[in-house]
Amino acid sequence: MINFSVRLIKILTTKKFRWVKFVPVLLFAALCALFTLRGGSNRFVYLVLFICVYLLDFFIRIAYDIVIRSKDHHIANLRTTVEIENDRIKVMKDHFKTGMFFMTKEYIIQDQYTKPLEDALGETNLTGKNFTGFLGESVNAKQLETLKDYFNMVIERKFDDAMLEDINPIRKFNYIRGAVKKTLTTSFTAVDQYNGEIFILSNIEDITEAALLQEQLWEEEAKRQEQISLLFEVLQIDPMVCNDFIEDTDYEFDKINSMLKDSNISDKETFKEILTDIYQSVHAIKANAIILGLNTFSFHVHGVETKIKSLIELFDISFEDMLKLSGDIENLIKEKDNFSDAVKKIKQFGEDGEKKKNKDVLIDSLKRACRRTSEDLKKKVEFIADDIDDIIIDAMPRRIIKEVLLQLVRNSVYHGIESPGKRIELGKAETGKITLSIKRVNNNVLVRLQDDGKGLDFAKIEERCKKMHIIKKDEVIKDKNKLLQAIFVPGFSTAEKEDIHAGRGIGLNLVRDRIKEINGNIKLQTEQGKGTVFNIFVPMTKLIN
Amino acid sequence: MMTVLVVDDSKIMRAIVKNHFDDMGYACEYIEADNGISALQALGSHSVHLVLLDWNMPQLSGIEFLRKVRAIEQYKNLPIIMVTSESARYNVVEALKSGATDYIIKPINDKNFRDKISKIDFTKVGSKTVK
Repeated sequence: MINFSVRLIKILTTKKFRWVKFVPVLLFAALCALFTLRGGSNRFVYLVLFICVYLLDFFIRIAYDIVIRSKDHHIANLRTTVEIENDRIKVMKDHFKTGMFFMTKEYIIQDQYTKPLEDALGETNLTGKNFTGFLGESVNAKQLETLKDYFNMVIERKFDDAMLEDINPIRKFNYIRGAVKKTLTTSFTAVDQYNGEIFILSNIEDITEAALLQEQLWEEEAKRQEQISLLFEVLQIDPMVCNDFIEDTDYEFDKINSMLKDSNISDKETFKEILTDIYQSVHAIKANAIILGLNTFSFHVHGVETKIKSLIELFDISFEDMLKLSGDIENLIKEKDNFSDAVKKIKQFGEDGEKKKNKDVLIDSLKRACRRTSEDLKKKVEFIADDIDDIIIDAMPRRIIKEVLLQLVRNSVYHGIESPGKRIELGKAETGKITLSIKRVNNNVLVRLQDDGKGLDFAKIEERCKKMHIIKKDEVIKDKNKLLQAIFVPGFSTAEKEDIHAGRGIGLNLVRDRIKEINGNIKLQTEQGKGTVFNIFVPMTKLIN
Repeated sequence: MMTVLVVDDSKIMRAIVKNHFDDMGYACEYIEADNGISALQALGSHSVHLVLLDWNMPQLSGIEFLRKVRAIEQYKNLPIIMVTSESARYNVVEALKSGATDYIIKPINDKNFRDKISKIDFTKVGSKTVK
C-alpha cells in the first residue's frame, strides 16, 4: 500500500502530471461556484470559504517555492564545494611524490592511484591488476606466501600499527621486473570504506635514485683518490711487499672460491661454518689491503664483509644470495687484478736488486700496517723488530704468522697506544713502542709482541661483557682471566663504533683460529698503564723443514 | 617462581637470554634445550610459563616446534617468543602466523627485550601439571 502511494506520488510529481495537483482545489472551487450561483441564504458563506481556501493554497505554494529555491541554492553550494575538493584531491594526487593506491583484500589495485606508482612498478594502467603479480621476480614463492599472510594481518588488524610496520617484510626491498631494477620502500594500512568493506591503503616509494646517486658520488670520489694514491703507493712499496700482497690475496681468494664451489646450500649447519671461514678470509684480505693503503679496495672488501655477516645471520640462504656473493667476490678479484697489473708494469722499471729476505718482507709489512693505522688514528707509534731469528721465520708458515701479527699490531695501535697528548700527560714518551721478537724457546717458537700502551682496559671489557650479556650485570669478577678469554669471542669489541680498523670483533677471533690451525697457543700479559704482551707459542714440529 | 624454557642451539645465546632476564630482575628458573625435540620433551616434563625460541636449530627447527606445540590444546595460550635475526624479516611473519606470541630481533636490544617481556601475560600457563 505504502509502496503504491509512493509510486503514485512519484508519477504525479513528474512534469507531465504536474497539473494533477490543481485538481482538488479546482474541484473545490467549482463546487463553491456552483453553490454561489445556485443562490440561497448560504451563498455568501460559500464565497468566503472559497476565497479562504484559495488564499491558503496560494500561501502554501509560495512557502513551497521558497523552500525549493533555498534547497536548490544549498545543493549548488554543495556541488561547488565538492568540485573544489575534487580538484584539490586531483591536484594532490597528480603531484604526489610517492605511489599511493588502494587495493582490495584480493590485492587488486583500485583506480585513483597516484602517478608515481606507475613509475615505481614500471607499468601503466594498473587499475584492476593484482599487486602481488608484480613481485614475482623480487621475492620467491615462499616469501610471496608469507607476504600474503602479512597482508591478511594488516586487514585483520592483528597487531598495532607500529608492530605491523615493523614486521612488513618488504619495508625496503629490491624490486625486479624484467629490465627494471629498483630499491623501493613500502607501507600498508587497513582502511574501512563507508560500506563496510576493508581496503589496504598502500604507499610505495622509489628510493633507487637517491641510493644510487649517493653511491656513485662516493665511488667516483674514492676512485679518483685511489688512483692518485695507488700511483704513489706502488712507487713507494717494495716490489716484494707488493708480490707478497698479491700472493696472499690470491691465496685467500682461491680458498674462498673453492669453499664456494664445494658448498652445499641445503646442508645449512656446515654451510654456515663455511660462510664463517669465508668471512675470516675476507677479513684477512682487508687487513692486507689496508697495509698497502688500497683504500677503495679495502672499503669494497669491508662492504662484502658486511654482506657475509648478514648472510651468516640469515638462515634461509637462497641460491640467488650465493650468486650475488660470488659476483661480489668476482668484482673484488677484478680490482685486485688491476692492482697486480699496475705492479707488474712498474716492476719492469726496477728489475735489478737482489731478492729480499722473508724476514724483511714481514717486518716491512708490519711496519707499514703500524704506520697506516697510527696515521689514521693520529697516534705516534714506532715499530721495533729487534730479536728476530731469520732461520725460524723462513721455516714458519709465513702467511699465518703474517695475518696473526697484522691483526695484533693493528690491535695494539688501536686499543693499546694512547694519543700523543695523553702520553705526555702520563709522563710517557710521546711516541709509543711496539716491539716484536721471534725466537726459539725449548721446543717452541715464541712470537712476542709487546706494546707500551695503556694495557687492557678491564673496566671497559667488563662493561662490554655485561652489555653482550657474556657475564651478568651484577656479577663480581674475581678472576680477570675470565675477561681475557672474552676478547677472543667472535663479535667482541670494545671499540665504540665500527670502522674499517676495528669494531667488528673479528680480528682477535681470527688470531685465535689461525693459531689453533698451527697447534699453537696464545698467552696474554697486561698491566694497567704499562702495556700488553701477546706471547704466541708454536711447536717446532709445526714448522716447515 | 617463573619457569622459562630457553631453546637455542648456541650455548652463548642461551646464556645471553638468561642474563637478560636476570638483569631485568625477574626471578626465573631456566630450562635449556639445544634443539626442538629436547624442547618438546622439556615442555612435557615441566610446568613452563614462557618459551624463548630460536629460529634455526638442528633436528626440529623453531618454527616446526612452534607448530607442533600450538597443535596441542593445553599449550594454545602458552607465551612463546620467537628469536630471529634482523635479516630474516619474512620469518617474523611466518612465526606470528604460526602462533608465536611475539618476536625479538637479534642482536637483542635491552629496551626491546624489556618491552616485549613486560607485555607477556604470564597467567596463561601451558603446563603438564597445573598445581
